[in-house]
Amino acid sequence: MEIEYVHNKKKNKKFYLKLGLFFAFVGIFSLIIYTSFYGGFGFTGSVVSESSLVGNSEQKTIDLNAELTSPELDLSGFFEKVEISGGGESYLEIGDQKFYLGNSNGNYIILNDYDGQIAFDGKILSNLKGRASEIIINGISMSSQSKDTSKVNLQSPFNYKLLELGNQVQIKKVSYTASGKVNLDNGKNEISITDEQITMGGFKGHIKSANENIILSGKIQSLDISGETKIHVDV
Amino acid sequence: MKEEENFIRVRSSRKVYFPVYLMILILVFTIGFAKFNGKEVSNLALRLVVFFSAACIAVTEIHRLANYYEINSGSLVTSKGIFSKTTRRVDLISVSDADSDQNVWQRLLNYGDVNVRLFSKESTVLVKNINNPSGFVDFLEGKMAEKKGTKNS
Repeated sequence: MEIEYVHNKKKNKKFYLKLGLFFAFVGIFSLIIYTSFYGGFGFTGSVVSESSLVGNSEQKTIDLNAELTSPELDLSGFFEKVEISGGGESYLEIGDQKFYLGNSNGNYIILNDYDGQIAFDGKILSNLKGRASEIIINGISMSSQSKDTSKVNLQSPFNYKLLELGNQVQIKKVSYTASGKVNLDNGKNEISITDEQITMGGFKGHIKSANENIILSGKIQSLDISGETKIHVDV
Repeated sequence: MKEEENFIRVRSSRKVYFPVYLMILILVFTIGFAKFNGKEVSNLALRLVVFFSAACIAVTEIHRLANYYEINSGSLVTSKGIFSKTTRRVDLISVSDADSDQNVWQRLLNYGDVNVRLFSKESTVLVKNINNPSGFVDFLEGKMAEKKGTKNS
């Protein structure tokens, strides 16, 4: 009886091992299919950037100036400067202190050398979490005297009027349905789009978001527009 | 299968791990297909495929190397384990008969199990998943006949 029990236990262990292996295979296969053929995590227009993802300096790029309806962006990395103007029922945590942003709709926040996450769409700043070397709120510096950087955390989303990210913001890929204008190569090519799918790859530059529009100024490695207009630019 | 005149040593066939190799092949092919079509492959997916493939190959090879079966002029030897080894020697005189066991899939790929029965009827030595099991049985029976012939003379 005991031998039979041990034998069955060993058999069950082998079965579960094989099952686990199969599920791991299915999981990885699904991940490849989803991220490669269905746009992966950039499908809804959100994208996470990485600080060195645009590649080396020899990568070919083309100048871009675009004013489009704003996507949902979720960025992480290093930003030389972040400027936010707005207000709402939220607190901004800086180190151990909390600053209430609901007393005015015209709060002006500057973060210098910000390293962290920032997520926003056309009007709401939903996530701001990281560290900055200098934090200025309404003209008053709130930075730590004892540390090089201070922790910054937005407790809850709030409405902004203006959001600027500079100078060398990098976005690996963003794809979403947009309307607006795209200027390539210093105005040599101007494209107007209306509710068309735009995919930009390897963006590096300055971002400004206001009035539910986003202004991108910088360089890109690839551009794809599909809809009434079909354009593909691969530098 | 190492075969000399008086000696044969076999390990588990790699054909047993065909489903594992197939999974690795499918993953690699899918990534290749995506790259060929200009699609982007996420770093996470790529790393997982590399890790999965390396881990599967390592585990299957270790599993395979853990066991071996040997027929020499006097005995049938089974060895299991890598760090702690269990070796069993069965004198060919005590072997009554042997048969090979293959399902359809195993017949197609020419591998299977060999059951070596002993006169004591208390145990059967199971030689699992080896290439050309009928060849192994033939060799075993040859050695058994040789041993009996030597004993009688």
